[in-house]
Amino acid sequence: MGGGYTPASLYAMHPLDPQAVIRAQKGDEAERGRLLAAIEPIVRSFFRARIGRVPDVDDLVQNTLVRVHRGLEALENPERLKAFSMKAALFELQDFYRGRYSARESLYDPDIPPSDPAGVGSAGLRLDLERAMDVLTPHARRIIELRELGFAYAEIAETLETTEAAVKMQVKRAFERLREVLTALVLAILAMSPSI
Amino acid sequence: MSQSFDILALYDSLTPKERAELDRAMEENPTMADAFGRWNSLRAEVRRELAADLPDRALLVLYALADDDVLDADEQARLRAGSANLAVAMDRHPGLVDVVQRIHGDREAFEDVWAAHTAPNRQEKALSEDRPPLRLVGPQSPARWVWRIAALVTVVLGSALLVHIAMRDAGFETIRASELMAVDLPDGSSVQLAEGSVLMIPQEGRPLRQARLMRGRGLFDILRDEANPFKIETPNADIIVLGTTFGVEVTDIETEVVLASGIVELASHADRDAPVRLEPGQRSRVLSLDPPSEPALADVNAELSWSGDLFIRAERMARVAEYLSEAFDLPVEVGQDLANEMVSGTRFEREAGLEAAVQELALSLGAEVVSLEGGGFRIAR
Repeated sequence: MGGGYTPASLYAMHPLDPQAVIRAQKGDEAERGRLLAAIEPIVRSFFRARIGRVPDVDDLVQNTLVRVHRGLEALENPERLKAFSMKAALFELQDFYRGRYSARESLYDPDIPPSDPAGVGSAGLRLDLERAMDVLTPHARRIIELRELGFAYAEIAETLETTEAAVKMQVKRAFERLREVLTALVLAILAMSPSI
Repeated sequence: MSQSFDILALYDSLTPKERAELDRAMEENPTMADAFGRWNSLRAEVRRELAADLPDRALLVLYALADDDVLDADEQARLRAGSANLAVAMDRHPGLVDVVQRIHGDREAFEDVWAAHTAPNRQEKALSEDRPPLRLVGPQSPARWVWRIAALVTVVLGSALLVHIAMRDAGFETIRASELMAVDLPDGSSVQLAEGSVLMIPQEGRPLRQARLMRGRGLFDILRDEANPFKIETPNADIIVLGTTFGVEVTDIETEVVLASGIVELASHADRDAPVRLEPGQRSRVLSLDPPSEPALADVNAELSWSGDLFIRAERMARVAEYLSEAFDLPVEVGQDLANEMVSGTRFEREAGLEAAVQELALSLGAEVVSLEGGGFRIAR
């Protein structure tokens, strides 16, 4: 759990008060420390609310505070500290989504093309995939895109205002549909190939 | 077999055990492996397209915030420079439009959290002014005067109640949990709130060792300070805490406490001087303004399972390993010499992960942890 807050009686001014922000900007290290300490539980609660109580929250909080720390001097209007901190947290959250599944993907390396017994070649495969995508419903495409953008199925369901089970069902159907289409395309290419 | 093919689509959201089974199935079935490879290629292609069409994902954040006057000059310039490409990307990829919507939700969530941490106590408007205009009436019967006096008394009592509520709530911040959420309390303690719970915490200037759970369920972790007990108030009961972990469930008429560790005292508002003291593993409840029930044994792990954490009151090590294995869906093996060792008074936080849990157990048992091939752990001396 992150820390709480310091009783106001110890300080004359709230650390998020614009005057306190100005002091932090002007080099008052104690004030800067208080400001970051005051923001820390806010961003922690925010990240927990958005992605749950997962270990990644610690990294997101740390990185957001680094963004705030580094950008504080450039903050022209100290009244805008909330918006400034919010943007730091939102940028960080998008970075998190972008890299979310990279470690897991390395387990099966989707970037390695599948076996190619028909000798279709990568250009043919790319074309097949483009044509295969066309057979998907717009809803299924949205789901696949959101997944590749780093969102968990539960988050996709929340975004699309449906259930996680419904989202997973759509993914399974897309998979089956693509399998049928890709198999048919490969067979067609095999039939047309003079070398086979 | 068809079902096995379906499940390949969700491979990356499966448990390690399920993935291992699918890996084995694919080794034996080249057609299945090929289908999986093509699926992954398609996903990689989608990913490549998204990255090519929108190399700078921060633009989505700037775009989502553009209408709200929160961008500085540099950010506005950056958004203008990328707006043409962004428009094309959003047109090609409907998922990006959904991400923008989601960022709007992120923004609202951030502002809610910021307000909850910083805003002065906000009193909700409790009275409606939609009252009919006064009417002049003729001579009135005694019965009508009785009704008028009763109505006046009701208004006076109602007003007094509102004043009482306003005074009671002054200096407290109200937190409404729209989902399972963690709250850091001002004294450094913490609480997990179940969805729908309402908690009030003191603002600056108020004594910090207190909170009010008005509705729902909370799992409290209270820092130990025997000289300054923590008080949790519910609509019908007081809970005095010396430093402990326990769950509280509050409905309109009932408060129930389940104690995982430490000591708490529970008293009805009707008789605050007659508390019952709970030992770890016990439960008690206050129904309406009745005295607290006699403490009774509770299944702490079952009662607090909503929090996602695992509570062990007193179990054989072999059983604890089974609990952990079920909770994390990974094998946890125990050496023969440890199987009957008793483990007591332990809480495993899910977010800390399985490795932290087994390391903690091994440390307390003087044992060592060995990682198993394919995932999981073995604890042995």
